[in-house]
Amino acid sequence: MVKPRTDLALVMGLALAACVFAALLPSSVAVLRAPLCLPLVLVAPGYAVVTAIFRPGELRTSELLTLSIAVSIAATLISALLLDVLGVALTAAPWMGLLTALTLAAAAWGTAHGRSRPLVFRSIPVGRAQAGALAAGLALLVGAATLGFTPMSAPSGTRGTSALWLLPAPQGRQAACVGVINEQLHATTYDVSVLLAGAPARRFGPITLAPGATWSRAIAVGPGRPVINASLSTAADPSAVYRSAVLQDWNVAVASC
Amino acid sequence: MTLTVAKPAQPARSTEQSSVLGWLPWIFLAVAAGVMVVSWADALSRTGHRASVLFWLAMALLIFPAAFRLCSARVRPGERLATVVLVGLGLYAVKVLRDPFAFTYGDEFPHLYNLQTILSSGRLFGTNSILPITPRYPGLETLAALIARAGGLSPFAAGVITVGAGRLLMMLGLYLLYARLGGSERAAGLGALLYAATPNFLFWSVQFAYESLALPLATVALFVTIRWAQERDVGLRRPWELCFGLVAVAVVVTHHVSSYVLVAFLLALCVIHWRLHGRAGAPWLLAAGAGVATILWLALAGGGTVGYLSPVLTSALKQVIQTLARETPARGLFANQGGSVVTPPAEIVIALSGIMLLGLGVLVGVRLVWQQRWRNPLMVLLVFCAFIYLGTLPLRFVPAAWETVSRAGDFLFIGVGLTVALGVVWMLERGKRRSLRVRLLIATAVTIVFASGVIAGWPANERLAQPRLIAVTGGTLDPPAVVAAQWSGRTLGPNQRVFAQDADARFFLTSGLQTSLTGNFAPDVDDLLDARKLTPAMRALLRSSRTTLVVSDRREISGDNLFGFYFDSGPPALAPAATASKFDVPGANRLYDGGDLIIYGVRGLW
Repeated sequence: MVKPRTDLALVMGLALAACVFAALLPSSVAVLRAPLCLPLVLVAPGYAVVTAIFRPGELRTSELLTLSIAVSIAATLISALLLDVLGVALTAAPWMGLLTALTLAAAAWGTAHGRSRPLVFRSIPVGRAQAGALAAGLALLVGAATLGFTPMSAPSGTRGTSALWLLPAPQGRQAACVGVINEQLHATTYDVSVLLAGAPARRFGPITLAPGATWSRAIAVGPGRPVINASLSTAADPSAVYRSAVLQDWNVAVASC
Repeated sequence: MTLTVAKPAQPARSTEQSSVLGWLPWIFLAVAAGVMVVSWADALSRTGHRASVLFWLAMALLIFPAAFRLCSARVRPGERLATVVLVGLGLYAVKVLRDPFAFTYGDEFPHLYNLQTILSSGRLFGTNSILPITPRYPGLETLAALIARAGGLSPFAAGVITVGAGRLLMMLGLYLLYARLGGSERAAGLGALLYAATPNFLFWSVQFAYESLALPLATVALFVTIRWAQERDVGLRRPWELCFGLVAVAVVVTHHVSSYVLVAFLLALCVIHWRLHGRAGAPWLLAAGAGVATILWLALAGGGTVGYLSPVLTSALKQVIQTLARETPARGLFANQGGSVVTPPAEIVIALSGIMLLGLGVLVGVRLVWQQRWRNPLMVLLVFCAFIYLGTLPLRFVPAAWETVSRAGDFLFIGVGLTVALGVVWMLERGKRRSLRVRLLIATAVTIVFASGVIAGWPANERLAQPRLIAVTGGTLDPPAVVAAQWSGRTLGPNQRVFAQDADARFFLTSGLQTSLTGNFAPDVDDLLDARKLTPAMRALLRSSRTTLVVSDRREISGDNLFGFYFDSGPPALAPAATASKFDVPGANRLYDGGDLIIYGVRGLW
């Protein structure tokens, strides 16, 4: 019988909870899901196995922690190999289910053999100065992460660009797609001209795109797969061809446009 | 069994501070300050400012206080271990903050692609056009895949956590190994900290690549070997054997070289043990187990490994011989391959000083081991490793051997760390009367040795963040090559066969999920991209390799898989226009024009 308030009971609870959270919480709430589920991957299986096979007191806490992580990683890899060999896709449900089963089995075996340890929570005395140092350190880490993970504006001299693309429409339709991607660092206004078999066919513009924005249109071209030339100019220099694309033999497999 | 003769480390009985935490809050504050300063330096660097002084200030904050504290005799083991772990993770944060938005190391892209493949297909052992051997060793990506699945995380975030777990394991494993082997918690702490002076420790060893997980696991396997050897009772050895088996399998499925090194290390250990104490008691069983697992994996999954590794090793060996015979010019130290990036003179002085201090530390440590621990087989082996490490330093002059030597250093430095730490502890004990001054001197020396490793390990202009993702009105922008790769995946679908320059090929692999082909070896993509005329032989090459897209990028930086992943600052150096316009011929479709980067559909040229 599993005794409550032991380390192995806690590990079993954590493993079950992680499995349930992984099943119930959507991926969009990774902030919640990751801290709840990652112990199952990185610590719980190893802790259960190591505690089950070593006698109580045989390992120092640091050794137990190290072996728990290493054996958890090994259990993750071996369970993945096993599932792969059996032809089971490595999705969350079977994989985490297998790891949970391993954790529960090892913990139950350890409990049955008297390897569980009572949970003892020791209070650690922390002086005022020490608490201040810890709080200041934590604040610095939050500041470092905030600064580090915030995209910065471009250094002076950074070159933006624009792209023009031209593709046959998918599924053999008698049409082509033309598009523009603005990768300039500022909003830019464009004109797009399309020639069909050398004759002017369509003109689009002015098209104003914000940085990172895209524009595309489908153009009916009729039968015969004519040569299509597309050119892009900017409002800053409308007479110059800034980019050009050519579709000659239409031998392009397109997924979507 | 006499594999270890030192007594197991015992906790220090008295402490400088009565508090359980000791100096830990202050070490945490120093590490956090170092991380904050490096984040600031990265932010400045990303916006085009110089910040190398801040970078070095951050390194000093990360290392010096910890080194000073670890020199003290009166520190609890828990505090020592926590200090080592804090520093290890703090140094990992330096790499994470350098690349906070995406992986940017050449080897990280193939591994990221493997991870993406596992997540999309649910299967292991996919294919990889840039590093075909990597899917055959799926340990790193498998762990990252489960982290992504379980935590609902992106592949990048899962990769960062996976490597972080590896770094945590490395620091724990090193400390425990050194503590058991050296019989001194002080030597263990200093040794683990000194290991951070490995030239690859700060950046290369924490990239999202298989060795970043395999080496920590191998270190734990060595620790388990020591603990196994310390148990006299066969029954008490069983749990250690099980642990060793599990960890060794994890090493074997994660990285070829790490598994070979582990087996070689164990075999060498057995031989030395046999020589010193006879056959009985040596870890034959563990060596045989690891060896069988390695051979089985090589036979069942890693069949291409020999073909992958042998050209690298034979080329290195050939060039060593040619350099000795003065048939090949030696590689210039403190400069990149083209000589365009040269290490500042002050850094050269620090690097050389660090190497001399390290050599001195090894000599003192060896003397001590010779006197006290020469009967300990693993200690003997680690001292040999330390000597070999010093012996390999001149090979850094040989262009083809440099990379092999640099990678071998990660393994050999495990011996350097403990050898030097034992010497340092001996010096600290001799200088008891001037304890504070000696500790300050040694902490300074450790900081210089660490700085020396950083300087030797990574080019000066690549240590801080570059503009990889930039903020613009209403959002962010990726570099043009990433946008082109994403466009290819979105519109043309994945698995197009693409010829591209080195850096672009990696973007097309991971951002476009294409089959990218690059380099100058089967097929010679570089030759085709760099030529000014399209020859019939090139058309034949496109046909034989069933290439559907050619990415012509005139920016010379696009061929650089160290620097080619960022926005251009200023006008880039360009290849001749003819290298791109040669594809403006009948049969080729000019599908995407991004200025310097043009994507041609070349199926019509077959």
